[in-house]
Formats: sequence, structure tokens, C-alpha cells
Amino acid sequence: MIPQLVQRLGGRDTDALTVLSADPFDLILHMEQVWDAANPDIVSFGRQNLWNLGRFAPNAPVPDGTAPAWDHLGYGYALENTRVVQIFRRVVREYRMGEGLGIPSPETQQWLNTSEALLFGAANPIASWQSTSLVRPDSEAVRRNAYWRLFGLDLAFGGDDNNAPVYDKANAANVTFVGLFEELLFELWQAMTNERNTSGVNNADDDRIYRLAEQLRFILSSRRQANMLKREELAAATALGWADLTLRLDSPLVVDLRAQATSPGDRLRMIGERVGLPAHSKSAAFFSMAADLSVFLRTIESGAVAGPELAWILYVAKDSGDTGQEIGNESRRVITEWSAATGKDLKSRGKPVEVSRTRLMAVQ
Amino acid sequence: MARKPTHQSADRLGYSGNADPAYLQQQINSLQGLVQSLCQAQAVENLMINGVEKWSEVLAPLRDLGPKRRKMPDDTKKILRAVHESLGRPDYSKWSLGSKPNPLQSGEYSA
Repeated sequence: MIPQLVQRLGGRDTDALTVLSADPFDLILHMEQVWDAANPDIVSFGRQNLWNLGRFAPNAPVPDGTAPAWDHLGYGYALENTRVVQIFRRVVREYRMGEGLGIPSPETQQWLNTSEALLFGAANPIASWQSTSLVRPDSEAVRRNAYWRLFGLDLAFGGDDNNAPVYDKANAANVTFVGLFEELLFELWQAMTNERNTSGVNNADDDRIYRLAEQLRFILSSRRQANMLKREELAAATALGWADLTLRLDSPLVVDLRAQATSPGDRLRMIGERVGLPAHSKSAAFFSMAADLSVFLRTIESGAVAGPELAWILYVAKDSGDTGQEIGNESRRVITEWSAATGKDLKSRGKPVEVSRTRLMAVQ
Repeated sequence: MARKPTHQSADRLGYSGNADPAYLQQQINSLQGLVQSLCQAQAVENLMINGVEKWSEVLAPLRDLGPKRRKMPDDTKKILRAVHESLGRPDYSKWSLGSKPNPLQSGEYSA
């Protein structure tokens, strides 16, 4: 939701700073607008009038109900694996509890206000969509529960103290997701390498690509019946989008922590060193993959690949296709970075991908 | 002492009185090579006479073994356009290493 808001504002780094310096109440009002745009059937005049008071009201997405204007839960999963939320929790605690990190600038103090509201449940005139309550008070545990249900995956690390995470692990979980997903990525790579093959053996198998994509769509949809997990997905996209935007440039926080760098992975690594919590060693791969993984999974879930004859949508590059809507570029990025993050070589293998391995590499 | 030929074919082969099996095998191999080269020449000649197009027609059924595609239907285009537009994001590469200085450091931005 956050990167999309920056894009609707103009997509410049100054727009990013506008969002990073915004009042948390404005962002929460906008969050409600984004939610309503994705659920146009739910009409409440009072609510809509209230949302329109916010600073970003003119930048709300157009309601259409076809594709929500926030990132897929896979985006949240990839970014959360960098350990960015736990590192930011320590940053907030250090700044709020003392002066160990120095005196924060007014811009950084504004960032702390918003971070506490969006990520850590600080009180606000309207509670943000953190999907938390007395029943499930920990937003990280809520996200872990959602990752487990949709992908059958846990994060690559435990709690802040490295103990085993505590959260409700649902019985209904897509534990076959990783096997199907990696098999699909392998088949897509075969198709990509044969895209311009005019002689010799062509290993591209559109029928298998279609079947794997269809099976993935089935299992993802089965966890989303009647809009299940939709609210949790928005909460995760907002929290991780906020963290993502903070690290995409030398933001006030990055400057105050003297963590200026040229990539979000390096900025996070340096901030992690300041607060004594190391980031994931593969953070660069997660940052690089997150947005493309979001597009990839949304496309799979949309049902656009309706048959083997349309499997090419997933592996033809956008600039070489005839409509400009193909997602070959995104697929290629996901293949490369998923391989880097998991340590599995998806581009060449002598046997089918190991289905039983469901965990990412542990933090090193 | 050389043996006499046992049947008339030996005469046609230009039998010179040598009925050694190794010699006969050598003759057969030589003839086989000749026939093979003639067949290949015929295939090349056929291709040159009839052109590549005719062969394309002959081989057309084999194309069905390859992946078949169809153009993207309009409703699929609409779905994918909605996905791309709803997930649009800035070009970060122009921020971190981009052409303009960091607005924080240049004083362009103030809270």
C-alpha cells in the first residue's frame, strides 16, 4: 500500500519523503480508503466521509474490486525475512527509552510516531488495520500465522531473542506450496531458455506450466475463500511497505543512524549492527525479489493463465511480448532471487525439486 | 589354389578368380557406400528441385509437437493490466544512485 501511495503521488523521492513525514492518522485514513476501494460492495457513507478528511484522500485508488491496491502477502513474507520489523522494533525502543542512538531529528521523531502506529499498535483515533485485538495482540504472530496458512512457511528466524516463535499454527495450511512453486519456477526457466530456440530439443512444457500454475491458484484460493486473510494481507503490506520505503533511500532515520548506503539491504545491515540484531545474510535477495514476487503471485491468483496456450504469459518478457502485460521479467527476477535466498539452484537440476523442504535458510 | 565361382553372380561382379570371403565383403561394402551416396545425392537433388516449401508441408504435422500459443484475449489483458496498475511502484533505482542529489542533504526537503 505504501509504495503504491508514493507512486500515485508522483513516484519521486520527494514524494517518498512526504509519506515518511506524514501524520500516522493521515496514513491510517488512507489505509481505510484503500480497503474500501478493494471492497466497493461495502458502502458506508459515514465512513467514506471520514476517510475523505485525510491528507491523501485525493490519491485514493479507483474502486474496481478486481485487484486490490496493495501488495500480495508474498511481498510481506519476503521482506519480513530480512528481519526488518524486529530491527525496527529495537530502533524504536532505543530511541524511546534513552539516548543510546543519539538525539533523533524532528523528522525521525515523526517516523517513530508513525512506525509505532503502523507497526507496533500505538493508540490512534482510529486503530489501523493491524488485525490485532485482545485475542491476538501480537501483530508479528498474526503475520506468521498468515504466512503459514497461505504458504506453509515460517520465517527464517525466531523471536527477537532467537527463541522459537509462538503463534497459532493452523491445521489448514498450504504445506505443498513450496514444492509446487519451485517446480513452476524450474519449468518457467526451461521455457525462458528455449524461447528463442529454433533448432534442437525444446524442453519448454506449456501444459505442465499451466497445470502447476493452476494447482498453485487452487491452493492459494482455498485459503482465501470469502475474502479470508484479506485484511491480514493489507496489514502486512502496510507494515512491510513502510519498512521498505524507509530503507529505499537515505531517509531521516537512515541519516540519523548514519547508515547511508546505496541499497536497502546495506542500510538494513548497518542499522541492525547499531542495535545489535543482524539482518538476514540474504537480505539483498529478499529486497530485490519482494515486488516482483507480489506481481507474480497476484497474476497466478488472477486466473489469467487459463490454459496451456496462455502459459507464455508467465515467461515471455514484457518488451518482447505483443501486449506489454506479460510478466516474464518478474518471473525471471523471482527465479534468480529465490534461488539466491534459499540456496537451491532452480535453473538446473537432475531430479524434481525436493518437495519436503519447506523452510528457507536460517539466519547466518 | 583359387576356388571356382559357385554361381553366375560372381561373373557379374567381375570375378577374377578370387573367391576369398574377405575380398567379397570388401566388394559389398564398396557397393553399399556407392548406393548410400547416390541416395543422399537424390535427397539433396529432390530438395533442390522441389524447394524447401514442399518439405515444410511434409513436415508440418511435426509442428504440433511443439508448444502452441494463442493471442491474449481481451479479458485476460484487462486482468493483467489491473494487476500491474494496482501494484505500480516508483523506480527506486533513480533514488539511491540517481541523477539528482538526495533532497535531504541538498536542503530541498523540510518537514
